[in-house]
Amino acid sequence: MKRRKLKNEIIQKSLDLFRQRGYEAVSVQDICDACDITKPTFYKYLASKQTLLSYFFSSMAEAIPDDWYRIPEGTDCYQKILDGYLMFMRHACDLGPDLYNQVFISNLEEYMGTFNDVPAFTDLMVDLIREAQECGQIGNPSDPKSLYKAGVGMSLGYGAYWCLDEGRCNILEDFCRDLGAVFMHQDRAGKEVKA
Amino acid sequence: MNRKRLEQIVDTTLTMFREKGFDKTSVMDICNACQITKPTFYKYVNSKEEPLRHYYDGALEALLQAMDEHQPSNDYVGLIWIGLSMTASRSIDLGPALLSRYMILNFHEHTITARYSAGGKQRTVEAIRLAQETGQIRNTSDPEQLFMALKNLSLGLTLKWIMTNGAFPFFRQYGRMVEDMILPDYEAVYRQTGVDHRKKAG
Repeated sequence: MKRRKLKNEIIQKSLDLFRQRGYEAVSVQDICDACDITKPTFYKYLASKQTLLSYFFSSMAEAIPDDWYRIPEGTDCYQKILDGYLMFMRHACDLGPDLYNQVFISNLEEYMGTFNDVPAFTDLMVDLIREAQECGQIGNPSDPKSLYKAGVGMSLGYGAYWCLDEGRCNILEDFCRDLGAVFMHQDRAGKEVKA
Repeated sequence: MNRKRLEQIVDTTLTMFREKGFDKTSVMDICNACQITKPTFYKYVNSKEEPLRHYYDGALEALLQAMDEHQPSNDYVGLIWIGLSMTASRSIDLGPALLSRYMILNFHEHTITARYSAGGKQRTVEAIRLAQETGQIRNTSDPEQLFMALKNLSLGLTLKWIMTNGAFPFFRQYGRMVEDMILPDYEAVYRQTGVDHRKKAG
């Protein structure tokens, strides 16, 4: 338990430092200083500075509270689906286009698993999509898992486009609007919601 | 700027990349094969990877031509697929290793070449609109929003394909996803155009 906490702390502090000073400008020593640990301790948990980038999303995903995974009666399923996708996209936005850019480059050079599925999250999102279809919020009748994967692919694409555009475009709004078009988002009366 | 010389450099570079691999091809190798000096090389391109950009030269023209020549001209579903997949086809043909280098170049230099060129977008959005009007597709959401979603999905899926070193069949996967999103009515397409897309689907 303590080991896990320390590893998470190292990851969090590193991402913060990267965001503040830029990925290149931060050394392993800088990270050790910020975490008050020695280099050998760092290397006990992480193979290299680059390995940190593979935890870019997973450290956030692990911090999702357990009760987020419940769907109580009366949940606005469509909103929760958006929130789910946006959790990941906001995390990237908070860390900034330069760092996210670095995540892409590193994973293209050698895949580090940064964009792997989080199974529990996937299962919940698929359930939410199915519920939203049943209550008429989502007019697209395609298989929920396929729709979920389309949303994931889109969020990856919008994120990449945002990096290539140096963070200029409004990805969160654009993503939500265009996802609504794909999912054929309707209000509860079954009318199409035009963004 | 000698157009033919540029073409020679680009073609030679891409051929060597395919044969020897990106890492094992040096600028000197390319110069020797083209019988030019290094200074001459750098007069035409900034780096070893830049010829990858030129690989997409003419892609837009080819796309517009393909859409113009597509028959029957009211096969809007077919037109949509050309608009979405033709340039991606060029990318996939490069293979994951070279495509990776090309995308890294884009991320380093913050360029979005050959992706959202206005001409291609307009034609495809128009095809989506016409497909909706004739009932060839059942997703009636805003055509431009659908286009952006499908284009960005293509980018995301391409990146995943590169990262997993081509672990899945890109067009089969993308094609299925596009179908699930735009909801083609193949019966309607067949009635209107005589084209049976169901054979190609999946």
